[in-house]
Amino acid sequence: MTSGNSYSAKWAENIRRRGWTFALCFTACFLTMPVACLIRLTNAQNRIDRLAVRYQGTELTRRLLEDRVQMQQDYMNLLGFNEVHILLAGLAAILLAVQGFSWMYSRRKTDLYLSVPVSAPKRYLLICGNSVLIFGFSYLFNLLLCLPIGAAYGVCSGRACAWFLGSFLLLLLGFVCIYQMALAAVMLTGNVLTAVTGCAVLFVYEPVLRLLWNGCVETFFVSVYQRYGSVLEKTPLLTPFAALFRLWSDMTAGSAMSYGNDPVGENTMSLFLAGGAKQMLLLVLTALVFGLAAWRMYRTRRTERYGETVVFTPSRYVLEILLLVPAALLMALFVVSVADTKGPVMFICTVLTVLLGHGVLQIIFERELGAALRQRPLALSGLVLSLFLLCAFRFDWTGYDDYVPKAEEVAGVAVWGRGIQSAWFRPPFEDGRRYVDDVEKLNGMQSENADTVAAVLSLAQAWQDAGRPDSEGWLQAGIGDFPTQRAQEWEGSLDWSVRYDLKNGRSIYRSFKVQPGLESETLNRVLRDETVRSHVWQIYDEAFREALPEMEITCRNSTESLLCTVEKQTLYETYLEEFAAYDYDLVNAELPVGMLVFSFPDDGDPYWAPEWEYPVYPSFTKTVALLEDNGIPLRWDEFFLDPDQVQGILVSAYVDTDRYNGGGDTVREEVTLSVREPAQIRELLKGMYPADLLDIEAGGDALRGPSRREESDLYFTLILKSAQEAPAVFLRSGMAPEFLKEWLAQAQESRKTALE
Amino acid sequence: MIECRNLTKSFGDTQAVKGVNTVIRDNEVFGLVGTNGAGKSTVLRMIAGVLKPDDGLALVDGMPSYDNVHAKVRLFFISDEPYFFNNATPKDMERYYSSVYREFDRERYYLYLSRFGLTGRRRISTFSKGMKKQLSIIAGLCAKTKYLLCDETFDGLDPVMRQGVKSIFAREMEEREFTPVIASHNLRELEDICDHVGLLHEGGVLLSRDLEELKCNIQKVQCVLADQTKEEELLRRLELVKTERRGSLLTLTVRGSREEIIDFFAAEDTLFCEVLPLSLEEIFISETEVYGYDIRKLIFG
Repeated sequence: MTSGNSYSAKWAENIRRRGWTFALCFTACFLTMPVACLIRLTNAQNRIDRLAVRYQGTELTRRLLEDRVQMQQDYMNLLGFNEVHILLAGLAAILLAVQGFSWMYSRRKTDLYLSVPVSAPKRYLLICGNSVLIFGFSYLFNLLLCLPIGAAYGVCSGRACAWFLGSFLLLLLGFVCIYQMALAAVMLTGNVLTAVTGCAVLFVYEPVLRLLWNGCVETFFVSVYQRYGSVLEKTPLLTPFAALFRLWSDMTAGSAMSYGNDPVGENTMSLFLAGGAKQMLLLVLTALVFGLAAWRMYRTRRTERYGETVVFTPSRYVLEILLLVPAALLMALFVVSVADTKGPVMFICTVLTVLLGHGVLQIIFERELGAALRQRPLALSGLVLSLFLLCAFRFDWTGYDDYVPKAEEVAGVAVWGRGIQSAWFRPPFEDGRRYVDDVEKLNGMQSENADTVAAVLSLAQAWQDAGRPDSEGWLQAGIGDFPTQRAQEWEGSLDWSVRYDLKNGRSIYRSFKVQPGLESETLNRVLRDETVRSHVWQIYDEAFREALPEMEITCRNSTESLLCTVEKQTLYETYLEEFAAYDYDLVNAELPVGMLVFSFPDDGDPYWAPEWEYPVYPSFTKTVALLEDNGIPLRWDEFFLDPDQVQGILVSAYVDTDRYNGGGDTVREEVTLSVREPAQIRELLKGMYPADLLDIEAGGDALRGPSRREESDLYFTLILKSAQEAPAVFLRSGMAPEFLKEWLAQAQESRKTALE
Repeated sequence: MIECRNLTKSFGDTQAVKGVNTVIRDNEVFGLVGTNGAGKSTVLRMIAGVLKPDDGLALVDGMPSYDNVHAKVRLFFISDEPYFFNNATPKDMERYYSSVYREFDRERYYLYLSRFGLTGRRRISTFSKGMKKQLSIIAGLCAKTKYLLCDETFDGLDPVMRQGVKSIFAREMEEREFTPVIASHNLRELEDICDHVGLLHEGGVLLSRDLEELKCNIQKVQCVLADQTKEEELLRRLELVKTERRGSLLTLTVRGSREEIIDFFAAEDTLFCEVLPLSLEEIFISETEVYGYDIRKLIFG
């Protein structure tokens, strides 16, 4: 009786020998799927059952419905694409890759496997195929087990099944990608320990490299875009583990912000289609590259190299450089963050890291202590490269900070910053419920207006010409004692972020400072740009206009918020007409007397109810008249609040004591003054302005003119005679009464004396 | 036929095999002897297609064995430390071998297992070293391959078992095309099994001869000549390999067939003459001394 030499027999044998990995995968899937599902659904059902005891009537119906929906969502979240399954798929991929090919790490095993008549490609295909099968079967079988469980609890639907299937396919793709990368590590190494270490290094290498790049750019450059990390985050990842987690995180963020937290909501799907598909395509390409590399290494690997740390000798040199250089730069960043120095100490630590790292890696590679002192040219190469890169960042050899593109190179610009950003900004109208960060603000904008481009370039160049007035910039430019007048000129300058869209297709992000006092006309050219305006203020949006009938318009004046009953369209048109005059000159000259607030009255989520706020300036005479006709008083002469209503004003100030604490910061102490005299109250109230009408913290503080706060360290609390809540206030620039100035000077003096 | 052509292999700075040229003819038991580190295992592993030669070729029936399934189908390699799957039983191993060797004879496998007193369902990890070797040999025989490469396989087998294996080899060779190649550092072990022996030293083949040819063409003669004065003239007529004298007793190692030597001394005037058989060890000592090697150092250290 002889046997058949069929592929299926070999396949079955391979599966049998890898039984423990199969058992492990299956158990993990079983625990995280049917068992977890059963526990979660049983708990949810118990919760629902208890509702009947606590509620009755329509409240009971409402809560039953809510809990039922929640139960369905829990079910879908648990079995869909989630972080537990990504972790499971990743660990399974690494385990199956290492276990599947660990025979190459043993002489006894290679003697058996390589002497039997099985071709190398067939064996490779068999092991890889079985790995996918082990994971795929374990996952799918347990997923199928969950369907009747869901059906029993009435939460399994066709939509849920489609979502599970999609998640399964996505996860399987992720598994294959991780598996291919793990295979590359397995083929490169000669024992299980280094294979697992290799996998870990491969999977964290790119995220660490990004972190390092981001850290270097943000540490050593002053013109770096403030949200540079976010820009970097938007670029697709090549490492499957990190990419899958980010994809999950993006999808979760999308679904959390979407109506009803539906994991398969349109928002989630559109997010996936927008970014996820591209990311997955890139992952597949990376997996293909790693897969081909793994295959090539499998075919060229010498059998006798089992047990060695790295089986391809030349790759040791490359690996060492690839590990040493980032380690050295990380050390440099660490020194900067801990010792706050970019001088010799940083360089010395970098050199030591390279030398020490070389020694450690050589010991690991050769498994011999004496090896630490060998391969000195390699250590020298690593050192030179590390120092070169560090110097390139430290001394800006690339000219990163000096960069301002030429006007003819720029196709368009996007700008954002204080002075443009305002308290009444809200995310783009159509995405009203989603948080929009700075990157997206810039991404949604592109002005091709030559005048705007020229204005932005001029503002950026002015900052460059002034020696990049920023404490760090001055130091770098060697202007330790920056001329006092210039320093004063740039005091209170605005942080701006810009994206230059070059004609060659590149987009370059930078930050610089804008000095409105010196560049008001240039600043206005940007503020008057239609693209900038329409992007920043959704009131220009066509969708906004269409949604107007469903909206509620309220107007906030100095003390209260009142519903506008005037015809919405008329108010809108009138306001829009006058809002066209909004620019830096207006902000500089006037303070808003009211705030129009557009909102949807029936929004379900009280924590995320979008509002669009627009300021009403005294010069918006038609709007003011319209609102006053509607019974909303917007004008005041001397006092925004009747002084007779005020019982007292508490003033808090922080006084410098010229004493330094251990950290080198000036010690500041709080002193308070209670103003009770009616005359003093009137005097003080004259210079006050309701903070609600100009969000100081959001950027109004940076604007010059009447909105400027007198003393950033002065805080006022109004005490009203009535039980009414007192409005938040600030003191306008140059409006501080004499008694306040005297008190402040006295407080300063007495503090000094007390210390002496 | 297995042919090694200028087979060379290095491990790092150590050259394990250098320029080995040898031919293993079909239906012969080939013994590969040499000291530890002589390169026996490396040569076998190259023939088995486990290792890729740095230079030269290991041809199995004219096909390079490395990465060649067609060549590997014809051979079964038993390494010096055979690997069995974790917690596997002989039955499990049979399943595996059945899946990779088309001709694997399961019936005979279980027959041999019972004859050797091995249990199919017992875990191999509980087997003694000798039992594991027996199991490897059984698997090798039942794979029905043309060549069976045994690396130190007979170490650890007791004489009875060795005799048993020998008889099975003989039967297999009668029944089908079968060529066992046995590597060992023990000449005595190979003496009663091999047809052809190759001596490996420092990575190269020092000698490769048929055992019969070796044994038939060299004889040990102990004699006492009646006329001592004619000794020199007599010795000149013989193809001498080695001469020893103890008093009047001459011990000669002489090339030639037993009959020729007996006839030769019958014609001479001798007081005493006896033609003795040489052990393989003695033959090797004599042969290698001719090349200037001290075999005792080579084989016995």
